[in-house]
Amino acid sequence: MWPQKERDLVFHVFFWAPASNRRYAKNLYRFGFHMLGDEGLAEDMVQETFPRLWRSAGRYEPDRGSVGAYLFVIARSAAADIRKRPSSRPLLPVDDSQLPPLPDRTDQILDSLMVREALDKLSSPHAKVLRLALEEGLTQTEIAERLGLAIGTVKSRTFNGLRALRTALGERGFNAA
Amino acid sequence: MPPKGRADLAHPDAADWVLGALAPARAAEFRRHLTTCPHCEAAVAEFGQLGQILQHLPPAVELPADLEVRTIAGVLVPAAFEQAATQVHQVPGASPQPS
Repeated sequence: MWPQKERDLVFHVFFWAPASNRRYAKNLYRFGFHMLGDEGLAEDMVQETFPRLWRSAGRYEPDRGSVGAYLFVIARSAAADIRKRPSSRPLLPVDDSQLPPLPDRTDQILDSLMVREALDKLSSPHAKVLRLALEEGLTQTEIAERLGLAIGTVKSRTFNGLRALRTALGERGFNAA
Repeated sequence: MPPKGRADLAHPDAADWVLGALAPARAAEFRRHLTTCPHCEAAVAEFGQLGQILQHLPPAVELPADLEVRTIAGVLVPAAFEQAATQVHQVPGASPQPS
């Protein structure tokens, strides 16, 4: 039989919490893409993380952190191994400085994923101006031209969007000052 | 001491600064402006930290449709084989008797 502890963890991730599992998988994939800059390598990282979780489940200590945090400790290590692997070389950016540094702490990963989720859930039109700025690098003037709005309106939506985001994060227990 | 200005009265460049959208030359200009404008100072004080986090977010990529199923199969199928192999060994008579 599988040891109780491993069974509990695997059941938690795969069966008892399918919605969480989808969230874990989606967040892992985003983390992988961010760290490795390639869709295929991000998939490899996700696929390597879950078997590592399974194999190391016996070492998981609930008192030291959530299952999610444990999963990202494993994911960070999988991402580091994939970066070092010679077969990954052709898929990684030519210049290593184009990749973000691997975070020192798992809570940094979880925080940024939480902010990402909150931003994704932010309602339009706040989200629209923030996405144009963050994802396309547009300035307030360029956003105003793109959306046919007065620049004052774009600025208000940007600041109100940031306030709404901060409130949403506060409700999840995250303090973004 | 909190800034005396009001973020809502800040220059649009303050929003660009917070979100990292200012070109380097313009950013240098804004840094000089910041020392003299309480409204921009208030905006940077209010949103600067959140803006920093937002500038380094993971991308909003969506999970490939079948990755989840492939991943689960990648764990459960070998695990099931492993368990089956263990059980075969546990069947009385299936494993060598100690001499």
